[in-house]
Amino acid sequence: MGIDPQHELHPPGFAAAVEYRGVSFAYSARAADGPSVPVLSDVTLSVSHRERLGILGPNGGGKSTLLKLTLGLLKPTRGTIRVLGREPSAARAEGLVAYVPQKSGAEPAFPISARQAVLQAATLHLPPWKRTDAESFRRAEWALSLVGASEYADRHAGSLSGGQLQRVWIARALANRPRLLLLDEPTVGIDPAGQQQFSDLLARLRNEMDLTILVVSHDLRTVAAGCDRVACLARTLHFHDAPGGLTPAVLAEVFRHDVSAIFGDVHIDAHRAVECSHHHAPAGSAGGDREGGKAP
Amino acid sequence: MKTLEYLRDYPDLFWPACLAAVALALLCSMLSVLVVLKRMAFIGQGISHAGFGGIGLAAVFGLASASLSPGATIAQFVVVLAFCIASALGVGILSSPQKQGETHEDTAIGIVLVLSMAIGSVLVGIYSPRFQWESFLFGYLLNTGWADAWVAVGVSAGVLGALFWARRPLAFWAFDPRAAEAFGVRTGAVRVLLLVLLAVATVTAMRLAGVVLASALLILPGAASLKLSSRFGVVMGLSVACAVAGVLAGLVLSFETNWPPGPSIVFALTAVYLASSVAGRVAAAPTVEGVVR
Amino acid sequence: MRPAAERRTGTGLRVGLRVAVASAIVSVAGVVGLGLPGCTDDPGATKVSVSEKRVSAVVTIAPLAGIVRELLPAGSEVTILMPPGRSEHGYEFTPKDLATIGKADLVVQVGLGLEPKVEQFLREHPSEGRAEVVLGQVLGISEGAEGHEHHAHDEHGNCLHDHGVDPHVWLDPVLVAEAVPALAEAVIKAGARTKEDLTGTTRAAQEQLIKRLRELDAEYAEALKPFQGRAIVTHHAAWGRLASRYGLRVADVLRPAESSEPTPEQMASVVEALKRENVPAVFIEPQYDAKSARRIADQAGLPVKTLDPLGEGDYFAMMRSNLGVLVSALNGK
Repeated sequence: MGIDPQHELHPPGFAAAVEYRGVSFAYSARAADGPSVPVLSDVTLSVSHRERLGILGPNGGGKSTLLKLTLGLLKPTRGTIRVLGREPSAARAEGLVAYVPQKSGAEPAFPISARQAVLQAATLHLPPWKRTDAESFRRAEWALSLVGASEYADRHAGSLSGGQLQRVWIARALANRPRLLLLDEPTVGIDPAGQQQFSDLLARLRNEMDLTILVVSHDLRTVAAGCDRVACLARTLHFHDAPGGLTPAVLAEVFRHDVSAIFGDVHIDAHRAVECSHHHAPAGSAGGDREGGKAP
Repeated sequence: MKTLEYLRDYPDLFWPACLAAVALALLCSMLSVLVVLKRMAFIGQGISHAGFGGIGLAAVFGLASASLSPGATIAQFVVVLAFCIASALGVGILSSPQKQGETHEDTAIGIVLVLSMAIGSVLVGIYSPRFQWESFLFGYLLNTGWADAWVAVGVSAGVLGALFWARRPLAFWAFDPRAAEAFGVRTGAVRVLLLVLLAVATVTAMRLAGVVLASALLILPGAASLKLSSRFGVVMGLSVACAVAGVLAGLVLSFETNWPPGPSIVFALTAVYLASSVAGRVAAAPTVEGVVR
Repeated sequence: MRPAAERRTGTGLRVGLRVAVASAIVSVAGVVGLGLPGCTDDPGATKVSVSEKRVSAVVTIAPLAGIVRELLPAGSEVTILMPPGRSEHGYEFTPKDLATIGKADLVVQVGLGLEPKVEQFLREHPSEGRAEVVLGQVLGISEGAEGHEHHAHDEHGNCLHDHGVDPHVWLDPVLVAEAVPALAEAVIKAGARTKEDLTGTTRAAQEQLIKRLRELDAEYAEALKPFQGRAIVTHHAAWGRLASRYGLRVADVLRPAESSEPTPEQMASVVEALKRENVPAVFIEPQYDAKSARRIADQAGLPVKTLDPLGEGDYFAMMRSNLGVLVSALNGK
């Protein structure tokens, strides 16, 4: 399956990069869940081309499930999903969709450099009798420099820090020039400075590539800083245009299923919402800066 | 020097063993890298003991006997191999990594192992009670004739060919199975392929050289080479080198000291491993030097 | 939808289920497997039919049964402990075997290191009136250095038998004849236990048996006379006594230590012996995997012949069959 780097051919007549219509999903047997509550319920959402969309929500709210549905790894119980006008699994099969999972399943002791890890993805499509070709090397190099990982590209992957590895995984995801990038909890375990770099990275990616990005996170700061729009997902969708619209009241409603949960450094609870956002949100984040004011 | 004497004066006696040993080294060395990285050493043990069940099954077909025609010998090999592959797949199924961790695989192996031995014990007792299966199932390297040696070469070529053909999805899965799945690698199929290849290697090595040597060849070369490099291609190559060096050194040791060849090779492989550990520690921390080839 | 508790343990249940099914299969198979052989042929022991309560005798290896049966009255039960096809070395006696011994009136074994477990059992579980015969003792052969001259040496004068003394005394008919009086005494003693006076019948049988053994000895001597000094090469060191009795030489043995495979040096030495001596064949035994022996024989261009040191229970048939094989091999056929 050759990959056309330009991806110019789209089925006619669709405007949204990703389109969810009335999507519901329930696992048939899921250990951690309560008995009969569906994971997603009637989610309708349109993601525009080259948009950076943040999906915020509590654990168990369905964020990872939504990503898996978008990848075609799961099928919705009800409703439809269109990725670039196609079925999700078709889009993935064509290499249009790339996914950076939350937890790295990578073996740290594995003898591989960052560059080779990226090449693994870049060369997957090559038939067995072909050597790794110059084109693949070029793509890997391009992806690594795009994410700013060139300087440590040849170091042993297991010796890299969390933040560095994060970039390498993103480079790996980009090596085959996808049109849609899904990031699952990308900033878990990364310090605030790293988080700022991350949002810069997202901006750069959006500028240099024809790329639509979906970022899933339970961390307010990540989502708000790096994204154009934020959707709050707690089984159902509460959608807001701007991160500044994420008032404590809204957040409390979204997170009410997980009232005492702690996610990132932000502790939301219906009664103490104001106090918390005041207390925990440092200046310059939570979308306050860009929108010109902190949430009340 | 006895080695030269033996090789010169009794060629048909000792050369086949050398050829078979080198073929087995090639067969098992690359797999051993994966076995060590994916912590599958116990599976190798389980598969080799599953051979008991395989012989039991062979007994049902009248194939468990000390003297068989060449055709029947092949049939017996096939039956034992099929049973071991089935056991390997059984382990794979019982421990599918959807939600469980690795301890589960441990348990699965233990179960399949004892069950196979029990099945073998019962079936042989019913169908071929005269059969001395221990010496039969667990081969002895110096009993290798030219036919056996060429079979080993053929199996080795087949397995290496399969590894080469599937090297990209296999390496990706080995490194990062979750990401591989997300990138479209058929991880279930890759895992099955690895288990099947492992079963083939285990049964072939076990029949020719004994279970101790088979296990050693599936662990030590990989363990040694992983200490010497952090480039995957180099690790694979070094693993082959370590295995072949160990095997040849072990054979020389056996000829000179008159010790049995299997244990001698294990000593040599262990020495190679220890040397690698020291050398690896002495060298710089694992980095990839120079331009990636 | 299934209740939460069940679903939470769903995967654990599935594994547990599989383990349970597997265990059930093993248990059923085990029961069937243990039951079946008992129904048809018990590989652990071969019996002669019994009508009344007569002497029950237990022997360790098949040839002893052939000898002892000649001395016992008709209808006595003779149980052979080692199943046919198993080598006499390294056999692990099962608890069932030992129980059988415990109930026997007469126990005959070879000794000389062949059946240490049996000797231990007899010592620890003495039984009133039970007759016990250890051939080694009866023949005055100890496990030490004494029996040395009876077995083969290689060119360096090293003993080729791992035990230090060759226990294969039953393959020498003269030695067997020497042991017959003691065996007869034991039979009479066993008869006393079952309240039978066997003195008359046994003495008669004893004379008959010794006569037959002498005939066998004469047959062997006659048949092997033309081949004095010829060398044979055997797979394991069972034939030393027989060879030295009748003027043959065991030039080399492939497996001096029964339990382990031949070392490189051993293999080279055997090939050397085959080249050097005028050996007619490589002699293997049916109880062993003879792969290495066949390989070596093929290379030397020699045939492989089978000599059976145990047989199926008919001593004279076994000995005569072996003689036939030896003679035809030495004749170059």
